[in-house]
Amino acid sequence: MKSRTIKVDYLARVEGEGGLEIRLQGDKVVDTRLTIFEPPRFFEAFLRGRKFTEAPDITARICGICPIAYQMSSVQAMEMACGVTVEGPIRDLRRLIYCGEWIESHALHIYMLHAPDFLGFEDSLQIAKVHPEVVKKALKLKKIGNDLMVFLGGREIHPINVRVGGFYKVPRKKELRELLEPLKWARETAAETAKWCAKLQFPDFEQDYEFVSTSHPKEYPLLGPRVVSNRGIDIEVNNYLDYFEEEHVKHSTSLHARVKERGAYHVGPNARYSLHFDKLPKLAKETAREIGLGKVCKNPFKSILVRSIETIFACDEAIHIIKNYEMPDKPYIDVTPKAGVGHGVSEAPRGTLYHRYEIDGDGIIKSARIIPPTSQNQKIIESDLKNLVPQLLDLSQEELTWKCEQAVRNYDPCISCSCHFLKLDLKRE
Amino acid sequence: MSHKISILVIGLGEKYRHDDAAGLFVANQVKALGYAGVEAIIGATDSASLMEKWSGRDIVFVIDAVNSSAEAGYIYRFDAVTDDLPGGLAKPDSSHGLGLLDAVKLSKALGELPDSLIVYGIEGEDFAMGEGLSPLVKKAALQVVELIKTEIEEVINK
Repeated sequence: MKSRTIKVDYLARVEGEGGLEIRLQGDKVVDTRLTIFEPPRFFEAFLRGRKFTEAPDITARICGICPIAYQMSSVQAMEMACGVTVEGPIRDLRRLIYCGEWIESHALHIYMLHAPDFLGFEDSLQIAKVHPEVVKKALKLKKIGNDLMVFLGGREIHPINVRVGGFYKVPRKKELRELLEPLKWARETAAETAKWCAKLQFPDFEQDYEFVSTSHPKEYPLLGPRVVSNRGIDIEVNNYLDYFEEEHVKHSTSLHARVKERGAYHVGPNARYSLHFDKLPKLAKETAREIGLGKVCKNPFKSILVRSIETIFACDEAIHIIKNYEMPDKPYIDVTPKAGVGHGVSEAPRGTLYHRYEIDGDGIIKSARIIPPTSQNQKIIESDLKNLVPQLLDLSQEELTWKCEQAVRNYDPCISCSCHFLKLDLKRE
Repeated sequence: MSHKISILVIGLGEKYRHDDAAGLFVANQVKALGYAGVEAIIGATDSASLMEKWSGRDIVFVIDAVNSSAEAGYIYRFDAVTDDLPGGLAKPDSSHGLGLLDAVKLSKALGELPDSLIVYGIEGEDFAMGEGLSPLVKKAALQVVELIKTEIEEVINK
């Protein structure tokens, strides 16, 4: 049988450290492994013994691009444990700061990390040389997301203004309205982004995924509270571990999450979009129709389109929240620690992030469990590669390697969050 | 009417990793000199934001700790406008963000570099957890403060 090996020592434009090994016998893929070897970071272990109020600031350090996701899932879990529900303008501000994170993260991934794949460029620098105006707009769009995070969070990387119960300080209505004009520009630019992305060429590759995301009766998902799938899951977050489990596999220092008794599932933009299209704002829906994106998107390569649509949503939602904002009397709700267990779930730009904490009556964390989006997508990434590679065997080694890397980048993986870098080792036997 | 000189000093690094804080130390010291028209950014920021902040400036100084094979306290000086920066300089820890080198290259491609962008690197020796610079690195950092002071005064007094 014909055999060959493809090896990439450093997969660019993904976060973290890991590798990829694909084993072929003839034209058949017999094994696909996302081999993650970045050392575990032990966040769950060193949260034990810390105060419940420290969780948002400690877990925010897990990731430089999605600290808000960690803060939101952790504060919601702590509030559930203490029997507190945060609603009204404080909850709106949580959604608002989350919109900032989505705008920043999606703009970065669309233009700097993902678009080069479709344009045949090594990196965004090459796009900047050929299409400088596109990159200038991308950076401006990203900056508007950053500015929103700085405004509400105190700084763009690991914001410091989020606390259990709300915020340390909240803005005045007038201050917040100053963000409206830039956000309106960002919303238009996000729509242009979707149209620009629609001109890219996409492989014909649709998969029958189990899509999983958080859910809210009226809102496009950001803060939960429920978890749903297109195969019948519709649960309260406190039942999460009844339906999902993690397993250790030898080739990864990051646990693999799976739906119990079913296996791989898909979280992130395509899942949210396909499960909640009807909750998108009008401009997002219209733009999706205009670029020929149906109500369900099963092609992971088209996640760049979905991210553009979600960027429209994030800008529109931010505008809506700001226009309707009334400053609360107090920036937070008092939360008194109570012995118990709390679960929190929210939507990081790259997918669902689940937290579970047990605290004692003094608010000391007894145990912590964090299931980040990339852990949840590991199995589906391997499954995509297994199904994709047989379609691409006519490609040169270099082109095939590129496509495999691109298939991983479809998920905007944060390997460091799940704990991780990528090298590709394709073995043909 | 004379043009008002706009100078930006950017100190990069991590305060709680000993010598990694060399850039922060220098930027703080230069800021404390209180020159009119000299602004300082101290500490973590997204490098993509740096591009926006340095665009249109006359002179920008970036100071960061370096971990190469040089002896502790060795001072590097690069002119990022005229020279190519070494590939390993200021690589980002995360591909979620842009490193200094990416930001310089992107700014060049977009025609948005400041008129002058000087990068000072100070070789560190202790990057373990904890505060405070090691003696040789502190000595070098104070030298860099003097070098930047001289460069600023040359421009101001021109």
